[in-house]
Amino acid sequence: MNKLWVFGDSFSATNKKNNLENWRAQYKNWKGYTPLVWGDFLSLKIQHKLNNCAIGGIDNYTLFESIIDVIDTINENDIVIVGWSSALRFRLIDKNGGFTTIRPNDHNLDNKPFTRASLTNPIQFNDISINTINELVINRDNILFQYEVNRFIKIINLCLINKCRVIHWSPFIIQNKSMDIIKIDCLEYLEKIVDETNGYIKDNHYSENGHRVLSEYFYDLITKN
Amino acid sequence: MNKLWIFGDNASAIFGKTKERRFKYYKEYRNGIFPKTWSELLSKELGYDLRNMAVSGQSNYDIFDMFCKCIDQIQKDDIVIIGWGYVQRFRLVDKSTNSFVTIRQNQLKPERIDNPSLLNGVNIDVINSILNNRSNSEWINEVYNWESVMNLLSKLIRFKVVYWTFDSTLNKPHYISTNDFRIDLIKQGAEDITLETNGKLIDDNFGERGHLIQFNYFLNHIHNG
Repeated sequence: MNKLWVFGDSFSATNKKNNLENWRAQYKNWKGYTPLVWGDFLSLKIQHKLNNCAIGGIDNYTLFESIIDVIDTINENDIVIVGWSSALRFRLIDKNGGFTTIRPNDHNLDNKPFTRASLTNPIQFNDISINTINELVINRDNILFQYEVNRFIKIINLCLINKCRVIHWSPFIIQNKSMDIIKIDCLEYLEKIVDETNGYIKDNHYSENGHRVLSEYFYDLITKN
Repeated sequence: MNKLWIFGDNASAIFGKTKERRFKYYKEYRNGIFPKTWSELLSKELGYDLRNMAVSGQSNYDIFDMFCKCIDQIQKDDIVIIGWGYVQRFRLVDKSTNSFVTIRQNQLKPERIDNPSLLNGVNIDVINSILNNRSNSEWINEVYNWESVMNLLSKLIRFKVVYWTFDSTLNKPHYISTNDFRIDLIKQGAEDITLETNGKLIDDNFGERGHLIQFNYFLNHIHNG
């Protein structure tokens, strides 16, 4: 059976795991069952076995590595969909000696400086001040870091060019304008969790219905070539 | 004609290709003629057309980036030599030139870091804490991950790829370099510019004899597979 490979961040990651982020657990509770994400819908529709390798909160360096790790197991006629994260994100070594992604929550860096509260867990790094994080995030707010991702895209495409269909997109469409990805116009209109729950869960990830609509977009893209 | 592709930092770059002030003095010392570097000697000996893409002072991010830029020009039976730099180096955007600038340990004196043309006023504490974070061995795996995708492309396109480094923390058994490569070459008679000029110029880049020894070492390893 052919496979559907999904790589990306929280906008692509599955709800079918034990250790869920708070917003995901709340949403699952609110729904009363495990809601499906776009990868689930799409794999059912195209009858491909789903390999969802997306990781919530990931940066593009780690994302690229997650593809490299499995790239030689991707087979002919599989489908690969990569949802690139924000180019502002980067990674540092944490106190446990492993990589942790730094995620700025705020898009408007000039008006609202990056705050300690938006760090995943500010005490997990050795000798890294909030000022360091701020300066690096501001420095990364540059088109060159999107071009860096374009090189990753080029390499992935070259590795898979004669094998299978590869689609690159990003949920961070405003930040990642210069990436070589398909621009999905409907993204901003997709229903979000905060919309579906009438503000009960204040979270801007896609609702199950939003995921279903996104899966239909990908289905059209694949079937209409 | 097959091509010899060189990617790396100053240890791989051709003299005079970049406008580094220190090489101006070296050229003057040598009466206006730079010596041949190891890559020039190697391409001539092998009968390969040289494509030296190495740039002085680059980080491994730049080196991988350059490889990605050139990959669609690399062909079957070409030879690719990757000379990784020190893992601790990283890059930031210099917004005055809108280009990347490499951050290296020992390179940044306070008076230089205040120079906005170099780093847009990024604080020295920021630089030091990132350099400190990058001394963790986990960063080495980032380079090995790039290598696995480069190796895959080498198989697909059928070019030969060879790795080497002066960074003993990065060196691996599959590299053609030894663990203390620089020291080992010096033991074989290699000289840096400081030694070659009897201390008249202070520069730890290899001079004429250094490049000749390194060329012979590489030729021997490439001939012996």
